[in-house]
Amino acid sequence: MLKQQSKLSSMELFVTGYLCLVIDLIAKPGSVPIKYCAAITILASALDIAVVYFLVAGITEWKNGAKLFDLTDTSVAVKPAFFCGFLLLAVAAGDTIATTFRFLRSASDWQLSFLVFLLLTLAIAVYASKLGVFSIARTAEVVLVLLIFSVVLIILSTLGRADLQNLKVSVDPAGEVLHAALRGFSVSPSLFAWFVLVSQSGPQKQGLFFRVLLAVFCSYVVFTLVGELVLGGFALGQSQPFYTLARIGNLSVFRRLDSLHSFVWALVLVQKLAVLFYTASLLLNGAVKKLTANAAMAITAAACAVAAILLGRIKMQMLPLILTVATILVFLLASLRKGENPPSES
Amino acid sequence: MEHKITGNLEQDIVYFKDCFGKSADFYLKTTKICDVECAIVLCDVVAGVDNAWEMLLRPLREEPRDFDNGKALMDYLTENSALAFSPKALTDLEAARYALTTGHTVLLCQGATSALMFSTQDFIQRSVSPSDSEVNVYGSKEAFSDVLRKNMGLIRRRVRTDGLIIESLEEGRYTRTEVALIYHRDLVKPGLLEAVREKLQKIDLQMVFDTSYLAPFLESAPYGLFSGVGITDRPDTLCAKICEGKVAVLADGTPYALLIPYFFPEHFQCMDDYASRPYYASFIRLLKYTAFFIAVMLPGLFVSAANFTPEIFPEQMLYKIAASEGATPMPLFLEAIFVNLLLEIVKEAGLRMPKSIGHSVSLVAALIVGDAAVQFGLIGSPIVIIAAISAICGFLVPTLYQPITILRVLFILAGGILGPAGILLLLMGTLFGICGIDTFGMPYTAPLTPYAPGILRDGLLRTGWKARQKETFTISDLPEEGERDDS
Repeated sequence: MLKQQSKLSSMELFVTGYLCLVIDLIAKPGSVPIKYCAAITILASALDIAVVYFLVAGITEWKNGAKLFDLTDTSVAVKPAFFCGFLLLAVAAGDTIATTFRFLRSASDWQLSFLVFLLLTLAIAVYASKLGVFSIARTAEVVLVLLIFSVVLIILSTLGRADLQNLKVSVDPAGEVLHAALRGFSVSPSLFAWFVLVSQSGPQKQGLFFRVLLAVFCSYVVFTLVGELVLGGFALGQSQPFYTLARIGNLSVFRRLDSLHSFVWALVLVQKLAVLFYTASLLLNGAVKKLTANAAMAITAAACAVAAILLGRIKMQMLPLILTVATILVFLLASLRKGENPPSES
Repeated sequence: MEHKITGNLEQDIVYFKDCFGKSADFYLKTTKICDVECAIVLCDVVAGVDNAWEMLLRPLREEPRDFDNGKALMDYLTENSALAFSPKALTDLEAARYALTTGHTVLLCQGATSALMFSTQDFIQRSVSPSDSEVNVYGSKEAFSDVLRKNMGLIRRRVRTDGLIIESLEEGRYTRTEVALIYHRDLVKPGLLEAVREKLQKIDLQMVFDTSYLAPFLESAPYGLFSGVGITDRPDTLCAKICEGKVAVLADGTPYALLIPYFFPEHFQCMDDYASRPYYASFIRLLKYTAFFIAVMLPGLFVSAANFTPEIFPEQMLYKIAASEGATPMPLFLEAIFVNLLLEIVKEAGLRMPKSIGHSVSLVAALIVGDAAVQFGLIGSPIVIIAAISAICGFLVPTLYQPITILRVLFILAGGILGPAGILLLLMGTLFGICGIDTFGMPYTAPLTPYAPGILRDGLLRTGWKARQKETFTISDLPEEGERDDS
């Protein structure tokens, strides 16, 4: 069996959750550009995050400190939830691998076979899972420092081009905010993976989930504002505006800092993959108790590989929507059979 | 099978002659002390005959009393004599035989069913000298010597509270090497001492000549690149670690002590940090962290960038690199491997070569690698420069030299074959590996991650002594993880 008791601290949970969610704001190759100005998208994202918070907190009864999953539960009723959770996270992990590959290919001209890349990333994910959740959580703190360094460097290297006049104001804010919120609404499978980790770590303070979402929202505000300040109207046509900032930024004689930034962001993507892979293996082990840890990881790796190959070949514009719906459904399924409700630490 | 001392002098002498008779260093002399037939037994390469004479025989020669039998003499020597020595009575011939090997003298008496052992150690030993492996500018210049008892004195002199405990153990079936387990009773982390003692007691080695023989038994991942057990030959470092709640292990015959547990940030600390001003010590620490990553990753990054993403180089540098690469027969990453392996060969040769001809190594290396090979076009200048920078950075963190060397080669291979993706994935694998190490239940990367206030106190940076006075920091203050499966 995989290590079942994994009492991560609040700090470790915060960092792990934040990294898994924030990278989706930065590295999103092939995504549909947002056609609204920063003011609209920021308000829309605030609305979306509030909806996600109340929706997920309500489903999981976060207020009462309830555990979403109890992996020691051997009853048959929980197996569908475990299995569906496993499938969701395996697909999400495969999507992460495909995204990472696309991102690296778009960021530079080097050629590497997707199959080789797939095998290597899965090997790293398996290695991280074997080492355990503490290894993944501690690495997250290191990667977070690198990400903060990268973001600060981008801001410093592009601040010289910022122009307040680039900030736009909308004529119909209410309508556009609603439209943008509807278009941009998503519940990431990473959130579900994070809740699996939280379930294993015992009761958490009420504010932890809120703090994670707040941090993601603040990061989005920074990325969007800086993007519009520097790029102006060009930001509207960018699928990865923050990456565009990385490409145009320079510090003194240092050009092409985007290579450094791409590298750091790819580290965050691999970190996210490790979290998704680990939690997927955990849920598979919970669904099929007879599986050994190695067998669970092998099956998870196979599932991730299939998902990555399929998603790498087929560009699904509807994939974010499908994953959102699937995540909400899995949350609902998991909450139908929860463990005991220990008192929260708040 | 126990062999008790019979009291029959001739019979007991036969036992010792059977054990040691063929050894050239075996010394046995029968004599009469206070009208009692006695035998003096010692190994004259580890015990001094003069010491035995001065301590026991000369004073007893002047003793006016005579004793009826050996037992009376023994009782007098152990309980009533004013002689300046601390004898210990032995009833077992096996124990007496072992005492000879540790520099003790054994006194046998006719009619006494016990023997006396007393210390008359007098063997050739290295004096206390400065450390070769942990050089410092300020602070103590003393390093441990090869004699355990002397090292105990160096420790006891520095930690003068009664909480310092030095337990004695034995390791090695055929060497029975004395091993000391050292800790501070009031500061040691609960559970750590018992765990270390239990692991040491389970060791069953044929021989032990160095503490490094014991290290794999104390590590959680003996085949990993990084070790959760540290090594030092400085008494001040050992005492500092003991005062932080750690446990040290010293063995007789080696100046190197094991420190348990040992954390990753400690590789970047040295005693000079605590003698320097905090701002400078913090600067040097950050420099060492940077040097570590440069030492490990620079050659691989260069190879990856030159082969796969040359656009990141400035134009002028790119032309020079391209020209250099075009003039050499080997691919860039093979050049990098070749140069780094050559540097390791030169370094190893310099270590093992007799000092009288050691200066030739640096001359040959400089001429062949640094000049002739480049001029001939076998290897390019950029790769030699990168390798040299990487090697020098590696010397900044000498305790991590072994993993740096291996990781450097791995990064070169990853960068040369797979490009940026290889570097990326290997870096993540390395980070996962380092962060996944636990040493006796404590994270190897503490206090860097999981984050603890100690990171500013004495981890990444160093605060001043004024800010740290009145506080008592031990490793028990570091964050503990939850329940873990350590199997």
